[in-house]
Amino acid sequence: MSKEILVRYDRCVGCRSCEMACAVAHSESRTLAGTAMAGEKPAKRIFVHQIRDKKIPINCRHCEEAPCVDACIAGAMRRKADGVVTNVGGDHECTGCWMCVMMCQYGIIRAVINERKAVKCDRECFEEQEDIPACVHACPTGALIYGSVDQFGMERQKEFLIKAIS
Amino acid sequence: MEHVIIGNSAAGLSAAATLCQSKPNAKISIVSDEIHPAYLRCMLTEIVEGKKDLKGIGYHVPAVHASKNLTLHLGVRAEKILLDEKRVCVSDGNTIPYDRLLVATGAIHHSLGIDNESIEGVSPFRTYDQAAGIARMAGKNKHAVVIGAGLTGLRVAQTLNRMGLKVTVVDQASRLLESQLDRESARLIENELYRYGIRFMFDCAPESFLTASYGDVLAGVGLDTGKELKADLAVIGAGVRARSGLVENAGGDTDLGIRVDGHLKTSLPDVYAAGDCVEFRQPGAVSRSFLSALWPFAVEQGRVAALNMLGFDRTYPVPLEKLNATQFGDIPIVSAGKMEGWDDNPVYRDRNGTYRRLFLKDGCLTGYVLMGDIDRAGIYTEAIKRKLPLNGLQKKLLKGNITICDIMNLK
Repeated sequence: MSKEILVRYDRCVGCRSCEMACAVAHSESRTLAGTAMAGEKPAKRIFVHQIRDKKIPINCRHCEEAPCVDACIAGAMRRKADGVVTNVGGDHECTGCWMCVMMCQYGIIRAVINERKAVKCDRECFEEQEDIPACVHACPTGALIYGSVDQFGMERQKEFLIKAIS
Repeated sequence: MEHVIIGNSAAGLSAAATLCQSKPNAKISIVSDEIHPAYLRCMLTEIVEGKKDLKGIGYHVPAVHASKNLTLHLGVRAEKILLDEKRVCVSDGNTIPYDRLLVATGAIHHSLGIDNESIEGVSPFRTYDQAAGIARMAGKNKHAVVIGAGLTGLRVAQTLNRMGLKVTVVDQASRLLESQLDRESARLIENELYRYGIRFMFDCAPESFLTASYGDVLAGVGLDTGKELKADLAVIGAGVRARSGLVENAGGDTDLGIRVDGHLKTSLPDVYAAGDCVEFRQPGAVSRSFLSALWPFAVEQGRVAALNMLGFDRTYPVPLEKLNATQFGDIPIVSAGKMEGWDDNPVYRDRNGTYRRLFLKDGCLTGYVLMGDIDRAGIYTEAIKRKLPLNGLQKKLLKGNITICDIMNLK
């Protein structure tokens, strides 16, 4: 089963370290200081929303029947064999037609107008030392987890049971 | 079981991919009247501009390439469905047997009945061959007249303008994209295109294509107002209709396009349809048919039709009537819903050129226009699809800080 970025909403404090790490990981400089000094404004692809006092990180689900893949008229957006949905690194380049932005019901695809490119979570952010996405690596509370849905489900069930019987 | 698919573009290939993925040994035949391998139709402007060649806009669907039991018949037109024998007659004299047939014939340009429509210099803009022809005829400083201020017309107009031609767009309507945009956003787009040098003539229609004294080559376009426009090239960006002949001639239900049920099945046994050739009707006793031709819809429909052909039960809801995303000049624009009485509806404008207009009916979002800042457009689209009562979310929609969490609470 492929690995997903899963969220423990009870642990999110809204610090937005994930947003920053995502943006920096997609910059030219690859460091916060470097990005700031170069005046780069890379786009983040994970978004921490807030509804009243609940903090809710929203990220790309890399859907199986991804509406963004259906929508792409340029042949750039595709679902790779490892389950990642991305519009970079393929045979065709993104032409900034914005059809994917129009179709993603989660609203996680952003239009970078001055570059005429649509950007989304493309998992091109992996830390060199650790094989996990930048957002997961940056999260200080363990609200973001990189694992399989089955594994995540099992662990949550175990936690619940331990709590119930103790 | 033998699956036959007529059409080698978005719907046809999506169906083929679904069939291959669900049943790797499925016997599939694809029939296409174009001799070229599948290409991305929406990218034809790149052919006109000379930025890409046919290979550069090639449409590769990996699942289809990996299939072991798929036969591709290119340059072969499906001519007749023999319902009793369950065979399709094709133009090379063969008949192809089917257990399940998918008609994904798309749409085709129909003559507008203008005088001299077939002289050199005049071309529709739908197929690769037509795009290549326009590319050959286009040249810097030449005069081009584009008929139709819809999405096709405006896209080719922009392309020709970028190539240095002097472009005039002509439309019977009183403004561009009349059924997609409200008056204000249409004017803003028109101003942007005007800034780039494109000129518009509304409330008029072409009556004849005029030839030069020396031959059968285009020299101008005569309008019904009496005015004549100089033209070295005329591109017809209107007059595209669903290709429903195969189903119609076999006795199937058609009107604007091929009529299908909630499973994309036609009125003919074991015959399905998907893509631009399909028409839809809003639910209700009295409702008119409409076409909703859009690349993503064709891909979705191909997938759903294929799943139903395999025996799964997948319903396809009536799609949104108008939906599109594009960019004119420096202005990105996304719009949804059929424009009707939009001009009084809630609007938001800011100094950065962001424009958001909502169309509401009975407390639900039924349409929108987003210009400038188009982020999260998908959430607006989803709100329309789900027919969600907005309950005070209107402000967030106008300001552009709506999130999926806001929508998720409403069911």
